[in-house]
This record gives sequence, C-alpha cells and structure tokens, in this order.
Amino acid sequence: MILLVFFLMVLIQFIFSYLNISVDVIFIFVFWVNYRNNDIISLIYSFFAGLYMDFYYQFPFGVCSLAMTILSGIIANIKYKMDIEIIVSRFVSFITMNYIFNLLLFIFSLIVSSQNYFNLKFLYLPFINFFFFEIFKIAFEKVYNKKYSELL
Amino acid sequence: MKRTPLYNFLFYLFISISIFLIIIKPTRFVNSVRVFFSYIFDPSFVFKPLNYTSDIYEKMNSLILCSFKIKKFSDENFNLKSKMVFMESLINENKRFSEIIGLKKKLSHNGAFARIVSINVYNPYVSAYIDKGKNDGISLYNPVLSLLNGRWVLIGRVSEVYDNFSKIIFITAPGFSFIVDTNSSRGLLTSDGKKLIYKFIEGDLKLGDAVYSSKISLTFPPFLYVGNVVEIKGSSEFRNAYVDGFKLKDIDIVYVIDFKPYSEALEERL
Repeated sequence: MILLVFFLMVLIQFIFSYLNISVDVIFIFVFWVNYRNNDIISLIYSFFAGLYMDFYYQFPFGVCSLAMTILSGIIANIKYKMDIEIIVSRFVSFITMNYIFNLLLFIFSLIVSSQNYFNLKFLYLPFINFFFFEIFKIAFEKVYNKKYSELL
Repeated sequence: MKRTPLYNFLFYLFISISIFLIIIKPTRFVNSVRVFFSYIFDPSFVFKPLNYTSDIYEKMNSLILCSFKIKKFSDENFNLKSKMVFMESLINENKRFSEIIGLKKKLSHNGAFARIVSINVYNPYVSAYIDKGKNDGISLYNPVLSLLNGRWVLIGRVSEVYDNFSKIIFITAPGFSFIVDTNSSRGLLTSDGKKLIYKFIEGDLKLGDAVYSSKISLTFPPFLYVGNVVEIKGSSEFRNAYVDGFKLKDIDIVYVIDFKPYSEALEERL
C-alpha cells in the first residue's frame, strides 16, 4: 500500500510540475505518511521520497534525503504530542515542519555547495502547501470513506 | 517515546547513506538518470497516453543506439584529432615545397635539391655539409643557391664531393672572391668572414643596388643574385661597399646547380 502511495505521489508531482503549479507535493505526502503510519514505515518512505526529490530538484544530491530523514525523526518525536485532527494544531504543525524542512535544505545546500538556494518561495510556499494538504486530506477521506490509516 | 533498535538502525543508516551521497557527488549518474527519465516522460504523456506507452521500446532503443553512435563518433573524433596534430606543419611544408618548385621553373639551370645536414659550429659562415653527393649527380665546384624571401640567392659552392654527401664553402668564407655586377658597375666580391665586401672597380654605385654574379665570372654562372648594397664607404676613386648576405637561420633547402666553372672544365678536357 505504501508503494501505491509513493507512486501516487510521483504521479501527482509530475502532473503538478507539468501544469506549473508550485506546490511541494512530496513534502505534503511525507508529512501525511509520517502522521498516519508507524515510525519505521514513515522513515523508509521519507528517505526514498527524499531520494526522489534529490533526482527531481537541483539541490546537491543527497541533501533532500538527509533533510527528509531528519524531518521524519522530528515528526516521530512530536506526533504523539499533537493531535492533527484539530485544524489549528494541524496548521501549526504543518507550517512549522515545512519551515524546518526548508531551513534544513537551505543550510545543507549552503554547507555542501556554498551556493545560496534561498528563494522567497520558501517563505510563502508552506501556506500554499497547507491549502493543498487540506484538499488532499479531504479527497482521500472522501474516496475511501474512511481514515487513511485504516487503509494502510 | 522510546525508539526500537530497528528504527534507530534505519535512521542512522539513512543518515549515513545521505551523507555518503553528498560526499561522493554522483553528478554524472544523477544527470544520466534525469536525462533518461526526461526522455521517457515527455510531455506527450499528458495528451497521448496510448502513444506514450507504445513508444517506450522505440525510445529506449533509440536512446541505446544514440549512446553507441556517440561512442563511435567520439572515437572517430579522437582519431581525427590525433591525425590533425601534424596537419598544419604538413600543409606549411607542402606550401613551401610548392613555392620552391614554382620558383625552380624560373631557374634555367639543371640541378638537385639538397638539405644542409651539418654546419661548422666554430665558423658557421665558412662551410657546411649537404645530404647529396656524387651518387645524386653533385660535382665539384657546383654553385649552391638557397631560397630566401622568395628569391634564389647564391650562397656558395661545392668544395668536396663524397658518394652520399658533399661539403660546400660559403661565399662568406674569408678569402673567397668572385666577380660581380650591379646594373651600372662591376667589382670583386670578397668577405672578411662576417660581411660581404664589394670592392668597386668602375661604374656608378648607389645604395640598394642588386648584386649579381658577373657574366664574365669564371667561378659562377652569370646573373645569380647575391644581395643588395647596404653601405658604401671610401673615397671617390676607390670605394668599398657592403652587401647584405644570407643568414644561416633562413636556409632550409638548397639547390645545387649542375655547372662546371670554365677553368675546371678546361682542365678536365686537357
């Protein structure tokens, strides 16, 4: 099932990039999977999603997988302390994680390649991501008519 | 929350793999994968999903064929480049030979081309050896010319002949003398070992006059160019002039004229 989610992520990412919609689909999926699955599956998923991201984006190779693995570790630490069923809690958690992820990408890229990858999109993109995250969440729950965790 | 050992192991394993990937920088591999997938997932996928799936084999096949062709052309390119290394020098040499052959047609004398193979290091303007000898038709006292600035210039004559090489003595050798003419004068050309001295006998002489072997010379055939007058010295009755001679560094190929001086030919006949 997790493989299906991965391929779905790749497909949606491909369609979004072709339609030129700047949404971080990979991050949305990683965040979702990390909150809905057990730690080990989430960690494996995050690493391979990061690896895919490395191939997809122009960051130094390995930076995205490193950032994703660390992000998965952070989420694994805090996810039992927050209830993302509440929208405010979900919003705070998502935005914070997205900023942390962007910051990790920026810092690692700066260390590895001495190039400044900072983009203004890093500031406002988390909010757009959250909007799409909500749409995906509703869509998933409507299609399967039950919680995503139960499917897995 | 307590982590399981498997989680910890995977976490550190993935961190290590990521850092390893950052360190080794597999740029070439990553770029190849990107090119491959960008080739496979072309935008026609969105509009022509059926064609997209049916074309995968052909696309992959063409990609592999392209790789082979690129390798083949790279090898070919490398071979051609290695051949081109000497191309420029060969073209220049060919051009020079063509020029020499063209100028040879202007010479009314028969003879043979030769190369200077050895020079007297201590007195370079005295004598040298050429790579042609008796077997190539070279005879004693044959005049030797060299192509300098597109013109055949008299530089010396053969003084010793061996089977496969000969020794030539330059006109700049001390004590070497012969009669020369300008357009309006006649004199004797000698050398002090450094400069060609034109000992003026009669007529008018001015700077820039071209000096040729005289038509009354017994040493050389007439009208062989020697040089130009560059300096005139002395009184109005007896004057010396300096003639610009050849430079050894400019001499590459020489032409040995099949000519026997009158006195030597006479001696042989007697």
